Formats: sequence, structure tokens, C-alpha cells
Amino acid sequence: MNYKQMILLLVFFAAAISSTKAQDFVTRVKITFEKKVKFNRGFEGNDIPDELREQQPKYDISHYNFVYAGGQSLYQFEPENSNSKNETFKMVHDENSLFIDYNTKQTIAKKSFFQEDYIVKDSIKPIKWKVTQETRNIAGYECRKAIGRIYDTVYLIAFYCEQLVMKAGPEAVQGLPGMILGLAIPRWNTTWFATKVELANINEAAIVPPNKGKKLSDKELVDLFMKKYKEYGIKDIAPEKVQGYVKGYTL
Amino acid sequence: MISLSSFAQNTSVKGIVSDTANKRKLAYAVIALFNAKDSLLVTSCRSLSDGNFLLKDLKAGSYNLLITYPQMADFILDINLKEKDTINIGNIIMTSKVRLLEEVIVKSTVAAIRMKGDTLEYKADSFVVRPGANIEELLKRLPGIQVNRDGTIKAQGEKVGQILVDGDEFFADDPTLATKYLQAASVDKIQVFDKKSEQSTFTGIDDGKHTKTINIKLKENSKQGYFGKLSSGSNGSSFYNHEAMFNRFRSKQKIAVFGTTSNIGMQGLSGGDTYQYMGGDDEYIDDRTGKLLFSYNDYDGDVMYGSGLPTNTSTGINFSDKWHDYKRKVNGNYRFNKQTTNGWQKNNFTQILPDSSTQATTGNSANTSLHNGHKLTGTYNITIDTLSSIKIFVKGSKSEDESQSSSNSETINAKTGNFINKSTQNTWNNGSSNQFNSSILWRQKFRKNGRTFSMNLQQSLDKTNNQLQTEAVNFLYDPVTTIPTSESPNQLQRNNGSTNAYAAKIAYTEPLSKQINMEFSYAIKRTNREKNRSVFEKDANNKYEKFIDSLSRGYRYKVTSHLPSLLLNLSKKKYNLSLGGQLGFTNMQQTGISSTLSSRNFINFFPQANFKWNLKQNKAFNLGYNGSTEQPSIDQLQPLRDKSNSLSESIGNPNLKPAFKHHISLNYNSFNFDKGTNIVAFADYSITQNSIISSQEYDQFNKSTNQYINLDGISNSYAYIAFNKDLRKLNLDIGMSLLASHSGYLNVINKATNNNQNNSFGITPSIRYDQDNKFSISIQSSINYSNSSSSIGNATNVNQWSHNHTVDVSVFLPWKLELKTDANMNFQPANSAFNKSNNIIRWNAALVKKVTKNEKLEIKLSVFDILNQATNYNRYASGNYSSETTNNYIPRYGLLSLAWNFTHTHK
Repeated sequence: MNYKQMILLLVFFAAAISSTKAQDFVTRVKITFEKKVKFNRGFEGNDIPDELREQQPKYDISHYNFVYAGGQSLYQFEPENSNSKNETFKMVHDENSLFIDYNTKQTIAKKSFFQEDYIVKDSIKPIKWKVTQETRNIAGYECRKAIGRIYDTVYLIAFYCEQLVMKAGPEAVQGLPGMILGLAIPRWNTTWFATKVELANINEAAIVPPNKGKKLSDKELVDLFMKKYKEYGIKDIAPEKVQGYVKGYTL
Repeated sequence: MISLSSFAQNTSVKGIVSDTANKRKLAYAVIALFNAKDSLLVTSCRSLSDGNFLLKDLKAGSYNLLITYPQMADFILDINLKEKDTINIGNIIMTSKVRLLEEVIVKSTVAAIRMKGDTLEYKADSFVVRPGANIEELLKRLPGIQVNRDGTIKAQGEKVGQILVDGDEFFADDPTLATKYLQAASVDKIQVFDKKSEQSTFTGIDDGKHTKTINIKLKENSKQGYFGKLSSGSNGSSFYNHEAMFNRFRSKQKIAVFGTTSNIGMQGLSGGDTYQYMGGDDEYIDDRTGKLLFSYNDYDGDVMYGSGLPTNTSTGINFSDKWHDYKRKVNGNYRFNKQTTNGWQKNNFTQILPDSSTQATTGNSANTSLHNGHKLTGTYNITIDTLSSIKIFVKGSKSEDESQSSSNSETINAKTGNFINKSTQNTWNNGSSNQFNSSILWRQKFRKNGRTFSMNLQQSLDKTNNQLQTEAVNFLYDPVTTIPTSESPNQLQRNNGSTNAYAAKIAYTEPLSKQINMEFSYAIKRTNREKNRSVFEKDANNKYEKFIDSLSRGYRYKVTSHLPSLLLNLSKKKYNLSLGGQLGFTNMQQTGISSTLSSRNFINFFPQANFKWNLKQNKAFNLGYNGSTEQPSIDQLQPLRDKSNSLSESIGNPNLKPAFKHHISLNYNSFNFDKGTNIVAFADYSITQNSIISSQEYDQFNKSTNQYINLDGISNSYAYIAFNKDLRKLNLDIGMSLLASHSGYLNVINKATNNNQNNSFGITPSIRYDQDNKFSISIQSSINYSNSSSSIGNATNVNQWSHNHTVDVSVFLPWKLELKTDANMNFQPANSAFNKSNNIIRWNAALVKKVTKNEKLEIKLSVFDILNQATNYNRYASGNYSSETTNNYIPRYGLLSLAWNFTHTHK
């Protein structure tokens, strides 16, 4: 078999596989996301000694589970397989969970800051999306690249899959005509990529809003942050920047 | 009423998504709506299990609709939504990507081919071409696009009429410069679409006229640098071919310069001004009286400009730029062309006269000519706001011609062998021509969709001058005594003419209902023409200074035309019907020496009807009719008496009536991307009432007197069908075309009507095998039969067979070598008109070697006419007439050439 025939055969195989898949549109799903934060550049602007910086791992890797069924989703920190140990410089902990009701466009998030849990109710933030022609395969699914903008200045790069019908994604990033399986926010040096997509054994009953924690509004959260920043000895920080951080890290 | 409006649907878009290949409706297809302005996603939905979708609660505005489905090519459509309007897109047919790409090795995961509304878009990087390939080679790789031997391009079975670079014209009069000289590597996308006429784009009324157009979208980075080609070839002594092209693109600004010089008549930058790809200035206000004034050419004499072997030098520059957020656009183009030609010709003519006598003329001639031409065109577009725009166009040209020819001929009576006449003639001609045209066009749209107004002002000025000197000796033999009488009509003619025209046109379109549109226009055109001829003969000092009053003339015309026109257009999803016509009320005033016709009024009528039936996407049927009045020209009514050729003379006929021509055409085109099949068929019929034909009277010395008369019944018909199939899996492309034509021609010879009938049939099979970048061969054969008859004398029917075969082979060898060879075999067996067969095989070959790592430099060794069989002999026979001509040619020669492609990209 020559090279050309092989290519042809491969194309046909790929076509055969993908066309059987094409029939199966998914409305209920469980996805595992790997979140990666590239460290060093994340500390730029902060007054950190070089030696300390060198000790930091290159990436902070953590895992999240996402479950979707019947117009609701739960996005939850998965403590196993995550290397988030070094918390010295982290304001925001990973042990968050996020519930979204897509019909009411309500979000209920549990956020752990400073060793305490808070419950923050909010609504889905609108994202301005542009869809491109580029495609990429993530976890076995063909995804299309889109570029989004949130809070006017934060750019997102997302890969969404048309076969997974839900208009959802990791964190509260959503709005594209399909599930987002890959997400990158260059400003925050952070990426989220699906590593596992499960279509069976979905525990619908587990999709409930988090309720343990101190209930806070958006504004109260910013005030809290300002206070804590001062406690940690970080001065001259503008409230707008804090607001950006808060919103950014909670989306 | 109030309750009704509250029930009115809100602004929405609906439709059905389906897949024709599997004949099913598609569920879960993504329908996404984007803002046309900033491409932001507005909303999206999924199609239901029956394929239906509905996007509701939308705001009025311009949107792009994107429909996607896994493994299907994207479908993109531009839509305009009005408040409280529901747009039903109807059935959307998705095409399988797998099918499109079956044979295409895809380098990236970017969608390689997609349908964007009516535009087919190819992502260039997905198609593999060798390094240094030009755009023509890329086009050959794209499924659905064919590039013929002569460089003409067909897309979806239709001939490509225009090639744009980034949406702009690129050397408007020779757009193949783009495909030949731009590099495939600099291309981002190739887009193929039907370009509507400018007026149609503006009014939104589909007038059925469209041009298959290719737009070459360049990569962003190649728009930030320069690139070009240098090539030089020579056989070591007399033959050469040098070409240079340089392009500098800087985002929206493009500058291109080229220069060529050649004496082997190479294809490509030949400097030819007339070209198959004419973008067409569809705004030209034509009162169709151009031919009325002088039907003969401006030089009158037998100027052989262009025949023989040309030495061509041409240069050109193209500039385009956009600024002010694309609201200002400028495009300028300059070309210079210098051509010198040396030629000789031998010819034989045989003609049967009504009295059954046969006259045989043999002759030979030699000529040299020099042509210098400059042409400058410029367009400036101003977009004032979304509703109005102004376009300014100027064009100027200047040319100078000089030629010299000498010829001799003799005519004998074939039966008796006696001479009828003998003639020797020398002519010297030099002339110049200057032209300037300009126009300004204002277009205004209104809030109401389809209501538009436009105003166009035009001016044109055309001046020609020439001087023709003829020295001849004619011997006319008395048929009985065979004693010759000689005459020597030596003379010098000075001709000058000018045409000065002004025109204005207003056009208004109004939608009468959602589907019916009306287009009304009114134009006025005023033309002043002047033509003077002074004829001199030698005076006592042997100088051409003695004025011949009887042959000299001066004319002045004022032509005023009023041209109202009305067109109704019914536009449905499946079909389009238009009906209408134009009237021309023309007044022609003549002042001049000894004129008998001082004022003429006439009415021209140009009815038209067109029916276009869109069976499917890429499958359409068209039926059209148009009629036109053809007025006799002034010189047919009353010619300038011409003595420059004393063997023929023209006299006028003031009683000529206008002719009326009916023309019906039928067109079918189908193209199936999935199956790679393409069928093109057309048929054409025309008949002329009161056609104006020539009547010739030969006297005993074979001297002819021409006059024009009216006669009914000239008809022409033509039918053509071509089938093409692209067997992508086998790397084969097969095709077959059939052609049948009939033409009738009437003329009167010595008061007897000569009815010439010509029928011809042809069949052309073709096959092409193309293994990407390894080996390709294409063979095309055509077998033709023609039959012609004439009603006079004892002329016999002439039946002729001929067959022609062309073979093109290209092989890629190791060591970056490529061998190209082609042969053209032409066979014309003997027949009743010619007793010898004429078989010629022309075989050419070239070896190309790429040197340097990036293959930017190539060395090419070519040999033309390896078998040395070229003769440049042509023959033609119809009912009572046959001719044989031989022109000079270049015998076998070799050429060694070096070409360098360079690119440089700025950061």
C-alpha cells in the first residue's frame, strides 16, 4: 500500500468514525477539565524575591468536574490529581464550585477565600463572541475556535463542540452554540481543557446549588478583598483592580 | 387592525436544514447569527428533528447567518432584517465536507472548502502545490476549477470573466497577469462567485446578468512586502523573451509594475489590448449609432497592422489604494505597448461567378508596421454614506501607427487561361489616434428597499489622423482581344476625423411589490462627428500637391438621441423574469460638401425578455430574447467615393431600409460539486429581416462595383453541449463536447443572388490524468465536418473533414527536474476544394530545473517545433469561394531561459 492510498484510507476511516458520531448529539454530559496556570508571569508586578520565584512550579494544575443535564450544570473542584499545594501566594483557592441554571441565567458560586467559604449569587455575564474557521480536536471531539471578550478588556479563546448541544463551558464561560471543551485566557495565563468526556452514568440529582457558606453580594466581596489585601500588607492597590480580580477569578 | 398588529410576528428568521446527499432533514444543526458590522455572535439555536429552525426576538439590521453541522461544509448567508419581519430562508442544503475533500490532502484542519452564501471559498494552504508555483497552478488543483491550455479559466463549468486581487481589479485589461505572476504561496483564499452587474448590485434588482468571478485573497503578511519575478530567455542569437514583474503591497495599497520584451510572440504579457476577460463597463451610455456613421475602418487602405512576426515591448503599472475606512478607493492603470511587425504572405483565391466562369487570383505581399500605444485609466470611488456614492472614471489613450506594404497579384480566367488583370501596389500609411473619456456617476439609495436613483454624466473625445499614399500599376485585359490597358492611380490621401460626445442618463428603480421591480431610465446623447478626406495626385514637380476635388470630401454630423427604457423584473426564489425594452429616437444632421441627405430621423427599438429558472444551486436554465434595429450606415447610403483601390468601387443606396434582428438564446448549466459533474448546453438562433447585404457587379476586367441592398432571410443557428466529469479517485477528468452550427449568408453577384449555406459539426472528447505534482497528461481530440454550398453557377458542395489532436504531458523527475512536452497534430484530408491533404504536427518540449533550496530560481530549456513542420498555411472553402494563404513563421528554434521568483515580507 503506498502512501497515498494510506492517506485515503485514513480519510475514509476518519470520515466513517466521525459520521457515526455525527448522528449522536449529546444533551447530558460529564466532563473533566484540567486547569493550568502558568506561574511565573502571574507574579509579575508583585514584589517577590527571585529565589522564591525559582522555587515555584512552572504550572499550577488542578482538575474540575462539570456535569450538565436538564438545563442546569455544576462545576466543581476535584481534589484528587491536583497539585495545588503551595498556597502561600494564592489569594483565591481552587476549592470552588459553581452552579448555573441556564433558564433563569442565575449562577450560585461557592468561593473559598482566606480559609472561609462564601456563597455568591450572580447572573450569567454576557460575552461577546466571534467565531472563526479554525478547528481542533479536544478529547476526541471536533471543536471550533471562537474568540470572546468579557468586561470589555479580557480576551478569551474558546473551543466549542457542536456535538455537545449545551451552550455551556468551564467556569461561567458560555454562550457559544455548543459545549466549550477548551478555554484560554491569555491575560491570566490560564487554560482549561477537557481531558475526559463521559456520556453515561450522569448523576442528575447531584446537580444542586452549593449552600454552605457565608452569603455575600458582589460589592461585599470586593470590600472583603480590599480589607484582606491591606491585612496582607499589599498597599496602593486600586479598588477597580481588585474588582477586576474578583470578577476575573470568579467569572 | 390593532389586534392584527399585536398578533404580528416579531422579527425573526426561519428555515429548514437538510442534506441532499442522504435525502434527510438535519437535526441539531447549529444556526448562529452574527452582526454583519463587527462579526459578533448575536444568538444561536439548533434545528429541530424535522430540520426546522426559528431565531426570534431579533432586532432589525444586517446579519451573517452561519449554519454548521459536523462533517458538513459551513453555510454562510448575509441577511438583512427589517422590523417585524420574518425571513424564511427556505431549504438550506448542506454539502458533505468528506466528499469535497475525498482526494485532497489537507494540511491543516481549517475548513478547506466552504460555501459562503453564493461564494465558494477555497483555503489555499489546504491544497498542495510545488514551491514557487503561480496562482494558475493553484487553480488547477482546486476541485471545480479548470484551467485550459490557452490560460482561460472555467469555474463550475462557466468561463471566468473577471479576476480580482483582494476585491480590486489588477491590470483590468489583462487579469491573467495576476494568475501568471502572483505566487500561490501568497494566497490566503480563492473565492468564486457570480458577480452581478454594478447596476444590479446597487439596485438589488437581479437583472440576470452576471460574471463568473474569481477573487484572490492574499495573506495578510504578503500584503506587507514585495514580490515579483524576473525571467530572461534567448536562443543565443536572434530570438528572445524577457519579462519582469514587481509588486509592492502595503495593506490596502498595491503597486504592481511589469515590463516585457519578446520577438517570439510568447503567450502572457504580449501587450495585447483586446482580451477575453473584459470586466466590462456596464455604465456606458450607448445610443447604438456608432456603426452608423462609418462602417469602414479609419485607415481605409489595406493596412496589414498586426500580421506577421511581432516584436513586442510593453510596460505597465497598476496602483490601487483605499483609505478613510474603505470609503475612498482609487485604482489607476497605465500601459505602454510598442510593436513592430514584419510579415509576408502568399495567397490564392478562387471564385466562381454566376456565369459559371472561374477566376483564380494569386498574389503575394510583404509588410512592416510599427505601433506605439499609451493607455491610462483611473477610477475614484467615494462612499458618502451608506446610501450614496460617487464614482469618477477617466481614460485616455494615444497611439501612433506606421506601416508599409507592397503587394502584387494576378487574376486569370481558369477556363481560358487568359489574364483578367495584373496589379502591383505599394502603400505607405502613418496615422495617430487620441482618445479621452470621462464619466461621473452618482448613486443614491433610499430608506425603502429597492428604491434607487442614479445619475451619470459622460464625455468622450476621439481624434484620428492619417496619411495614406498609394502607388499602383494595374493592367486590365480585354476579354476578347486580351490586349491590356494600364492605369496608374497614384495618390495621397489625408484623413482626419473627430468624434465628440456628451451623454447624461438618469435611472430610477422602484419596487412595485415584494417581487416586482420596475427600472426606468432616460438618457440623452449628443455626438458631433467630423470627417475630412483630401486626396492629392502628383503635380508637375512629382509631388503630391495637386488636389483632386472629385475624390475629396468633408462631412460633419450632429447626432442627438433620446433613449427611454423601461424594464420590469419579477423575482421569485425559483425563477426570475424580466421584460422590457429601450427606444431610441435619433436625429442625425449632416452638413458638408455636396450632401444630399441633410437630416434624418429614425426610431430604433430594442425589446428584450429574459427568463431564468434556478433549478438548484449551480443548476440553472435561461431563455432570452432580444431584438434590435440596425440602421444602414452613412457610407452604405452615400459613401465617400474611394479611388484608392481602382479594382473596386463603392456606390451608395439612399433607399436602404433599416434591418431588424431577432435573437433567441437558450442556456443550461449544471454543476454538481459532490459528483464532479458539469453539463453546459446552449443554443442560439438569430434571423434578420431586411438585412443589409452587399451586391457586387464585376465588369469584364474583374473590376467590382459594390452597393448595399435589403434582402430578407439570413439566419444563423448554433448549438453546443459539453459534459465533464471529474473522477477524483482515479485522478481522471473526462469530457466530451458536441457542436453543431448553421450559418447562412446572402450576397448578390452580378444581379444573381448567391445563397451560401454552411453547416458544421464537431465532436471533441478529452481526457486528463493528473497525479498531483508527479505526472500529468491531457489529450484532446476534435473531429470536425463541414458542408458548404452556394446557389450560383456550377458551384459544387464542399464537404470537408478535419481532425485535430493535442497532447500535453508534464512529468516531475528527481533532482527537481520537470519535463513538459506538448504536440498539436492537425490533419486536413484532401476534398473537393483542395486536392492535397494538409497534415502538420507541431511538437514542443521543455526541461525545467529548479535550483537553490527554496526553488525560487529555475532554468528552462525549450525547443519549439522539434519536427520542423510548421508552415503557417491556412485554407478555407465555402460554396463558391476558396482561399489558401501562407504567412511567415519562425521555424524550429530553441530557447534557454532563467527565471527568478522573489519575495520579501516586512515585519
